[in-house]
Amino acid sequence: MSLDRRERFVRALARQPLDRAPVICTGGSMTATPDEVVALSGYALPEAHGDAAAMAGLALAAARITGFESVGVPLCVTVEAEVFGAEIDLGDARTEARIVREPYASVSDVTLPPVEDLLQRGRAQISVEAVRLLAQQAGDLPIIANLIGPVSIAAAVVEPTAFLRELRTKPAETAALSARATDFLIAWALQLIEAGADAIAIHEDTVTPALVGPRTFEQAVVPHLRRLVEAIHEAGGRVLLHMCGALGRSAEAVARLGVDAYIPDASLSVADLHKSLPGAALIGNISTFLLHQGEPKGIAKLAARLSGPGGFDALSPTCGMSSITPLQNILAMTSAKNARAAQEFSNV
Amino acid sequence: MSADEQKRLYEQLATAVFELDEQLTKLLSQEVLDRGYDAWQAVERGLLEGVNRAGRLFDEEEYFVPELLIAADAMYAGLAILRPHIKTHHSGFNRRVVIGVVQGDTHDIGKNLVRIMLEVAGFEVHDLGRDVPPQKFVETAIAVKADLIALSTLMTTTMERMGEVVSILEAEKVRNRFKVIVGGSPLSQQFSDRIGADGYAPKAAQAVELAKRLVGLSNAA
Repeated sequence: MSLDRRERFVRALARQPLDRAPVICTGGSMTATPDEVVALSGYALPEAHGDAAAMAGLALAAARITGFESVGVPLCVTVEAEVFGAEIDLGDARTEARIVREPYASVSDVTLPPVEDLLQRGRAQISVEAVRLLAQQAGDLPIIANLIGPVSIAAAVVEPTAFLRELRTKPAETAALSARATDFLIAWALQLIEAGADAIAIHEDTVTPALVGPRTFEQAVVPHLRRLVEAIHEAGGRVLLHMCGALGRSAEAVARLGVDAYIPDASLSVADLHKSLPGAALIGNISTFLLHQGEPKGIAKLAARLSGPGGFDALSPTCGMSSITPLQNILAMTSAKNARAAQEFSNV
Repeated sequence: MSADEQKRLYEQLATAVFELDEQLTKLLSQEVLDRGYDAWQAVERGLLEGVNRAGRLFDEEEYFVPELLIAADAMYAGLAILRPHIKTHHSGFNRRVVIGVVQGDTHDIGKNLVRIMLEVAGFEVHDLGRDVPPQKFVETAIAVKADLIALSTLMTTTMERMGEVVSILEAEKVRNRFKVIVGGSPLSQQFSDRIGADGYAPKAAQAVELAKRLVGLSNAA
């Protein structure tokens, strides 16, 4: 079977037979741009966060340098928060872009412009343009566009500790804010798909089942995620979902979302995940602590094991890679695919 | 009898906090004062007992972060009413903690939970917030004569900032004045040992036990 990289990725998401599991890195909260990679790329951070050509160029260079079989933009987790009025520090190659201040102390204070205006704010259109450029330049590399989940955006509009409290004390108002974030994400995702994204990765990284529990997750998160997933599917897009932490009693609710692939927390086992999310491809599950602090040999071994029979449909780091992750450790992961193919051959 | 009525009121107070009812907590706290009952006992057997019950349910995964935050809000609302009436020799045990999220990181939900649990346990907590430069921890700890410095981060990138705090304490020759504890999902005991911290705890409740042990309030297991 001779597949190009996009075909292999698409078949992995559909859980169709493959020559081997692809090794990908989504971008967004899982960007493939630690400082060693940036230094070799010919591009610079934070500049690439704010320039479409540089964003696409760095994403493409990162795939070339690391060997990951996908390209992903944006290269940070702050585009949505900035669109919704948060103060952002774009950091540098060593320090990740981050939210400095949320615009509101309480959900009751929030006022927002219409979605059409939100789409013109901050770096929303820079990301769309970067996808458009990648569609011209990335060849057979699948393009992944990354979104922060709607309720995690809401928790970046309102100071997050206050927001978590208000999920219970002001459910109607927090739901209205999350719905507005969903409206924005749907409109933006359609632009990203139209520009050439093969898949949309949603990172619901703050308001997770582990943090808010099954009841609040079902009531306050699932309805918005479901609407977003359905809209992306209607537009012909594929959906990857990542959340930090364990799924616990929320596994069934996550299964009902109907995502194409789930990217779990590194601590979860593949057997349990296949059981609780029977319809979804699984992408993971190379611990980013191991990538940061481990040895290439151990990483290659883990990668070979996780991509073996009964393992993951695609390999990727989970969750976000540290910006001081050594390149040789990433290469140990991405070249493991060859090791596995070689080993299978020798077993024949 | 009045002793029974007192006991019942404290129990109602604990239940109000535990059931996340801030309004009722305020009303009952005021009732404690109106009836001339002991404010410190109402705090200890009512408010703190209520938050501790919420904390136990949190450990059992029946309550989650929103519930714990709301229970703490109810406790603080009751405390605002009762505190002015507490006789000074009851107010805590005079151990101070400086807490914050290290520079480069703004994830502070975990730190906020630990702060609440430390306050419930009776520590005087100086919260520096998030994205805090290493030097600021040291300056504050010296200024407030802290017993303990508690450092938090959620990000692998910013973990190393914790080691910088320890280095500054050593450079300024004040390392032995403070215990340093660290927490956050990417951390481990091994990491804590490597940077020369005095302890690590994986969960908020364990951080409180660790803090108490390090300042000599409970014996090591």
